[in-house]
Amino acid sequence: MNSRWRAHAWLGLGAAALLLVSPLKLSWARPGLGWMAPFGLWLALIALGGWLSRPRGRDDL
Amino acid sequence: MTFDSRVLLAIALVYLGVLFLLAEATERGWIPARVARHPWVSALSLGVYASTWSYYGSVGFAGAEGFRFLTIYLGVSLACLLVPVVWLRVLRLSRDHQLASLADLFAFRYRSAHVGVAVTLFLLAGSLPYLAQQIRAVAASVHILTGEGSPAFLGLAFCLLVAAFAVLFGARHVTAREKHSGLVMAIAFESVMKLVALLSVGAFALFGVFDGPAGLAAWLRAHPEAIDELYRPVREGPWGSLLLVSFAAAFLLPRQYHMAFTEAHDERSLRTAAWLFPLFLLLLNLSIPIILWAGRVELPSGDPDAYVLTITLRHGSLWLPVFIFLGGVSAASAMVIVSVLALASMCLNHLILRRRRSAVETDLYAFLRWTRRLLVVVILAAAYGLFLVIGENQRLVELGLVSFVAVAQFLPGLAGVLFWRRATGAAVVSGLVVGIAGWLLFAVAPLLVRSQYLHVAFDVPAFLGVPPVQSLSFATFVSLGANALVMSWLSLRRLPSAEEAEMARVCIDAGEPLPTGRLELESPGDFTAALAPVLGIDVAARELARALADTELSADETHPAELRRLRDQLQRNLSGLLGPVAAEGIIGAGLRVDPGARSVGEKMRALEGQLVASATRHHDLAAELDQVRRYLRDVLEDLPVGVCAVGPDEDVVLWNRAMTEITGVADGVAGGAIARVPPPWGPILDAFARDPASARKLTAPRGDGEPGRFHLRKSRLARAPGEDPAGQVVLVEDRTERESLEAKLEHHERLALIGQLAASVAHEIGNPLAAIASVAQNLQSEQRDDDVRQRLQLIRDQVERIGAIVKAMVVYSRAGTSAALSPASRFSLGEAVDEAVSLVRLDGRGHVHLIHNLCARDLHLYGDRPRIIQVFINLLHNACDASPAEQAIEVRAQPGGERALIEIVDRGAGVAPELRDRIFEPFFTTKEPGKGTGLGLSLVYNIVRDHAGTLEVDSGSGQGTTIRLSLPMEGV
Repeated sequence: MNSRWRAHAWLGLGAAALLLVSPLKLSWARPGLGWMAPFGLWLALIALGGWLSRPRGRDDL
Repeated sequence: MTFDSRVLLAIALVYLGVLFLLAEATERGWIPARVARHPWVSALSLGVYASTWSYYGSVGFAGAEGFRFLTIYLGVSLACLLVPVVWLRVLRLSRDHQLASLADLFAFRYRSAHVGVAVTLFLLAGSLPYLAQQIRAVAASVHILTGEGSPAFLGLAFCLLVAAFAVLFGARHVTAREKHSGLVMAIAFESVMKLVALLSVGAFALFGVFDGPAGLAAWLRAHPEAIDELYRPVREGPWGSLLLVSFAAAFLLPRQYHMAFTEAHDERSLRTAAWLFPLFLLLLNLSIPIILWAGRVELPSGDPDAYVLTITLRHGSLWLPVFIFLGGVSAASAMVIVSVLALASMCLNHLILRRRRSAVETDLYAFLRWTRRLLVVVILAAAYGLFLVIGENQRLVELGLVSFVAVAQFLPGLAGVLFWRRATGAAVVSGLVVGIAGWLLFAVAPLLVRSQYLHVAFDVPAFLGVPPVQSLSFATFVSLGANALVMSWLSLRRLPSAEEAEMARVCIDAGEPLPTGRLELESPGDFTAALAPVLGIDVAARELARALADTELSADETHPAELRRLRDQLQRNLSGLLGPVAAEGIIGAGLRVDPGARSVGEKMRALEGQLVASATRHHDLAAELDQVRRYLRDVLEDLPVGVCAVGPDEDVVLWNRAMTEITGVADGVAGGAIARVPPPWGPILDAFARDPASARKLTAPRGDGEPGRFHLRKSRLARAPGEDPAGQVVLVEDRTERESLEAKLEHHERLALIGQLAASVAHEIGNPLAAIASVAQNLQSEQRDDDVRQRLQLIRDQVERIGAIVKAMVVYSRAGTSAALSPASRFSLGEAVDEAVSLVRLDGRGHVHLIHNLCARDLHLYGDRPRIIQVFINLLHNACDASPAEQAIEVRAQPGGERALIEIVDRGAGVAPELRDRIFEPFFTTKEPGKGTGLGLSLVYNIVRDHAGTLEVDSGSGQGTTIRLSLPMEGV
């Protein structure tokens, strides 16, 4: 795996952690968004995980 | 509504029986492999993460701490973002080196038995309370449904059933390379069961309690505090610590590691799990808020941990509560089965087998299998005992979270495995000890205080003024922080050992261990004898056969590099059987390597192979160096001279392409002793390497089997003054063709000299010869005496004969000069041969032989026609002289590109092989004196050469002769 893929994975983790742990969490942790907002965010994280883990070459299949 | 406990137990037994059947069907192949090995099955088996804590306890957790309950699963999603950089690397290490557990992985990386023991003990300590809680949850769920039943009896029944399943389907195989597909299928089925059950409860709550989404929305509008209570803990309370511990738990919990890495078939499973596993958890938790609210409506004073069951009981349905109960059994049994199997494997490898076995077991495989099964029972018994002690005092969530904090202590050590070369085994153990001490002090002790097992003075966080809601965060960051600090500080204080550094390279750079010495054994047979005292002769032979099959080597292999590879494969296979610590001990003691012997050749080959195969891109200076290395390597490989570099230990370090072509010996000799190169070149090079002389000429077989002439030169590789030489370089130059050309040139020069001599002699003899002939003729005409006239005639005949010889010599000497040449022209080959045949028949020789002209009439030659005819005349004369009467002589010709390929074939006496090279020399003849001048074939040779043709002779004594000519058909 090349360094760009590794960087993508760590960047993805960093961005997700920022959204969940930093004061940024106040942007989505609001009752006005309804009770399913955290599940929507979670779904976005799942999609990101799927994208980061996709096979990138014949050796990854 | 209540149920009969015997009915419920029977239903649970039937359900577990279904699991048994499913696992057995998978193991026997009744379920197709493409289904059993599908990536979704493996990904769903990771749902073992969701135990009864998730199934029952999440509702209570949500009720107490709102959306913080999602952190246990959001942390998993964060961990899944790192599948490509963490999970896949752990999978490759586990697969390549047959590591079956986290303890194996740590012991392998840090080359320390103590690390393996520490990891095993800490994971055991952290898991037992969690196991006890699963037993408690199942017993509690039965009690809720039946209102009766001794928890002790129910717990025992549950433990016996899961022990039977674990023993039958989880401990069948002894090695890590053999997967338990039945177990994986059963666990995946239980994940689906849990999901369907919880979604059913959610649907029941939505439609049965709230009358559908509209009803829920209306209720939420009427109770806005319900949503606010979910979000408030997220905004106000600690959140990061729970994310961190669940991030670690996602792949470090024994059951997670076992399903993700030990039982995984391939990388596709993990790539699928990167999104399917967290999606499964999302769907599992989607219903939790709805169930919580429904419980608040239906049972406002009830235990939220039991809402999943209790709300379904209130509406009179029979099947739904039972179905939910089975979902809980699924959650508990999956967690317990997989955890116990993983812990049993670790205990076997690191607590029981870590000591070298001095006695040979009668059947090692049976010993391992039954010991693992016994450990399953012992661990379950310990968990059951703890369950009896703990009773009802803790919430499911609390013990689960405490276990997660314990598992998170392995994060620093894992960072050292995958990313940090400086990490040492001693530092990791020290960090773990500090971390676990912090865990005991700040996480476990407060829990025991709340359960009234310990005095309040042991609640250190409370003593320090930490609010209860933050006590777990406090425990996490203090213990983990101390762990990481101690590990980092100790790692930086002392450099890793050579072994640790090598393992760091293997783990971080995905390389193979480099050979560090010479193997003391010389054949696979020696391996069996060396391992038999420890493994037993039968097991040693079977493991050797397995390793030979894995490496595709034969039992006769003797090449040192291949024997090293066999040794490494044996160690890997034994690691899967006994763990890396025991495997290293057995192989290190039985298949010894002499570390003092510097095997430069093996190291170079291993390094070269790894650099070529490395998936890691080199950067900056490393990239430049690698380019230079490849360039120099190409220069050596492409040299037209054979290069063989011999190391100081007389191993072949380098064997280039020219060396392979010259000697016919392939590049595979590199890494082995020079004396082991196949004969004749092995003995030749070995003797030359020891010879004080630095150059030598010899004759030896070439790669094509023909003899060749070679020049050998060598030089010693110098090092700094005072140091031993670093070996020597031998150059082998093939001089065969060159010496052959030199011999031909010498031959041509000799012929040219003879030609010049012939011209001088002819010139000097001619005049006196003419005078003698004239006087003899005059005397003959004047004499009347017949006797005198006859004698004078004899003189004239001999003078004529001398004249013919002189004329032939003059013709020979003038061959190739402008005086001898006619203008070149195009003429028919067939007609020229006809003319030559006619001339041969004129002198009588051709009459007694059958000369057949088989040349095609349409073939034409380009050259000096009279001289070409002379060639045919001379060759036909020789053929007639060599052949008995009535014997056929053939002249054949066919086109060959721009040349005519002509053959004159006779079945006469032939030419002896030792004379074949001389027949074209001037004055050489095999005929009796007076029968030939010995210049005929020399003349043929010169004429053919002048026409840029070729001439070959194929002949043997008594086998006839074939003269092959090639002459141009067109002008140049």
